[in-house]
Amino acid sequence: MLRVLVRSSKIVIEGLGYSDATCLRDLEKLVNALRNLGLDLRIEDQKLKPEALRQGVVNRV
Amino acid sequence: MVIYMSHWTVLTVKISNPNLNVLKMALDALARDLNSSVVENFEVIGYSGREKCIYGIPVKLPYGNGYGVMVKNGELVVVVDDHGAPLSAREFMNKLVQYYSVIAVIIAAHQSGFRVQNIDQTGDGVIIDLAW
Repeated sequence: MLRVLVRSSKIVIEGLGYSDATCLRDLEKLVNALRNLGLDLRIEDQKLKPEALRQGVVNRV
Repeated sequence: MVIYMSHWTVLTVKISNPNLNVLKMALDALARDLNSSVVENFEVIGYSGREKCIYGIPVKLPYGNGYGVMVKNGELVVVVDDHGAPLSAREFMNKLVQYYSVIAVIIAAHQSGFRVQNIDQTGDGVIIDLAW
């Protein structure tokens, strides 16, 4: 699932429970839909969460 | 072996070429906070002038008759004589962007095949959980 935190001038989106690269694909789908609704979004920061590093295997997409 | 790929993404937000239905819904929410309601084609009057806006929220202010919004070159503009007002123009804009963003996330989620599982207002903002 995606957890979205909406602040006044920032949106934080956290992927929860993803086990493959669909996290970024879902994120992209949501961001594109938001842009079509008039939100001008700029990615300020994006990082893998700690569990992504747990097994020493990191795929950067 | 499971490869976890959960990400954490921070986006800065501005409203540009707003969807007028979403804007109206966001203003309705903001108007409720101000114990008022949204008026279309509202003329905002201030100490030193007046401006015709696509939407307005009438509020009795020390030097004005309320808040208005207009779209100039695709950018959302707030019009108010905010001297002594309950919300400054900046505070009004910040709230408007937040309400607009929440409504947009809910609509965008449905369009993208997500189900809104939970919405929670916290001190830090509004949390929206989207399930597959």
